[in-house]
Amino acid sequence: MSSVVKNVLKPIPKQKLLNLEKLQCQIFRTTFNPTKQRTGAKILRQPLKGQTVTNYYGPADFPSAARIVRLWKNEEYEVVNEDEEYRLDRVEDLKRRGKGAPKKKREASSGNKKK
Amino acid sequence: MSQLIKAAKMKRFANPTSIPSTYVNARVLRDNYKRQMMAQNEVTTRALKFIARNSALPQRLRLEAQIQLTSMPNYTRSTQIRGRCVDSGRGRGIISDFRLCRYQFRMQALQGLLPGVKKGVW
Repeated sequence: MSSVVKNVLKPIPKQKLLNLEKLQCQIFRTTFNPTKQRTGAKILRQPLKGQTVTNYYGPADFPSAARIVRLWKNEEYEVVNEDEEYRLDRVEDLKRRGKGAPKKKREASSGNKKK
Repeated sequence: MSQLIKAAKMKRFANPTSIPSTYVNARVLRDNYKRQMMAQNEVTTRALKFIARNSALPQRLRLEAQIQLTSMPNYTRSTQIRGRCVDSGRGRGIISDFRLCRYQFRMQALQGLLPGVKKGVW
């Protein structure tokens, strides 16, 4: 009885443990690194995130409303760009109230150029 | 249709980049540029970092890799990238799941434009 206990308590030889680790690595396909050297493998293990980072602002070729209106111009139907319509309405309204953008002074600018 | 799917390119920065189709702003453009450059240089950065951190390689090689890594321009670094609001270009108060700033998020959520988002009532 006592001899069994002694056997269990006996330290396992290092070589045996190393062999076990090696076998473990073979089975689970990990690198056998008994000296615990820092190989920087974790840097290569991380997934590349460039694709997700560049996709933040969505696809660059996504057409704007104005472009769709321009391309699908047809006599049969009309595509309405609501934002643009609103802007034009507002500009019209401002003009009606005399609050529109000032007109360009042609003579003055040409006079300046001559100088 | 081909006209429709033509991404606009610009010459604002040293390297050609495409303009985002969302709200555009000088800061949004800059961030977009950094994002694209980071993606382009990602593999190089990763390789250099691996060499620099690999203690199995000769010390001189590792040092050289580290120097190359630090000499790379700032716009290639992932830390330079900042989340910006896709609809207003704001750089603060971004709710990253929606890529919107808090104000845009609130407005759009109240309008019901964000599926699954409900106003909390209790």
